[in-house]
Amino acid sequence: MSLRQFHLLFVSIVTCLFLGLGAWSLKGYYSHQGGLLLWLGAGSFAAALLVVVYGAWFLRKTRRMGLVE
Amino acid sequence: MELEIPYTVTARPDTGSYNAKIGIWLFLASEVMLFGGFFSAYIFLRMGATHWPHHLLNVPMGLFNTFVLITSSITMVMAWTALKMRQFQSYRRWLAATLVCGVVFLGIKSMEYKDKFHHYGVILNNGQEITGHLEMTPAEAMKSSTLRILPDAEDAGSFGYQLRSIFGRPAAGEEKVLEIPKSDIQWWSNFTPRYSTYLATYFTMTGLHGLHIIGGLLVLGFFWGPGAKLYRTNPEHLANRVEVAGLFWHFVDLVWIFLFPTLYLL
Repeated sequence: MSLRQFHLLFVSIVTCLFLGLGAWSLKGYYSHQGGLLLWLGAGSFAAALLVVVYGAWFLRKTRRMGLVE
Repeated sequence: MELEIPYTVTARPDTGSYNAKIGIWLFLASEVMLFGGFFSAYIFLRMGATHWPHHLLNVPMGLFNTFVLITSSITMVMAWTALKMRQFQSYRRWLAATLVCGVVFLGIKSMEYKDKFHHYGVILNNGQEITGHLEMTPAEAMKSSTLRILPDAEDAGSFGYQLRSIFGRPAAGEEKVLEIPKSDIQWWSNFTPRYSTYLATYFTMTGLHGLHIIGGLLVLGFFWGPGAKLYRTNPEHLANRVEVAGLFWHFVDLVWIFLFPTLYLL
């Protein structure tokens, strides 16, 4: 597995982490552990989306460079 | 006669990869077993524990460190792609950014460790646990017949409190300093590995991870400095070396991606 492929796997796992963090934050918010958790949850879901966008950009960039194995 | 090590640049026909990549994957397989063993131990210790502490670690700090390591993985892969495109200056800039991220991660981790070493827990004879900060020096506490401790606030485990505590200990509110005679105390200690199974696993796993970060920084530092000379004679060989280092760095970051929710959130 090349660094490119490992990086894409890493990006996928990071996306799952942010989705999980968002769920954890919202769970905390709904059990009345502070309003900040709502912002953290929203930020986590936004970060998950950003990571997906980055992953797609990275995939295109490395394809253009001919780094596909 | 000069000996040349084969397959440092081109792929070996039978494996389809250059030798260093095969080597790093074999090494990473052993690393998976090492960390896998620790994660298994964590699961079994937690399942068997009658009491498992929650919200003991500072989530905002851990989260910031997670962002730092994710960023370092991106800068690492950018350094490699820059080298593949033969943009040497860009390669060095991205690698320098990776090194900075690694150092920032270790700095924040050491702050977290320091915070734990200044946090104390007292187990009373009736089994009750009081956690907080000593209002005396540890040396005074050892000699004195009473312990003066400021207990943690009720909301000390909340995200908001933890966020505020990064910038200094928040006001204690209604909390008052407790003076506990040592005759009432069964056991007391700061938050070091001996305090609880949870802290022992926390320090072992994050400590081992931290050692991997230090190792990675040494290798990346070499490729940023003296090792970069190889670019003049064989840039593709350097790109392969950086790719191998990048695989290790990604693995170490991936371990943290699993450590963060396991130790900080769940």
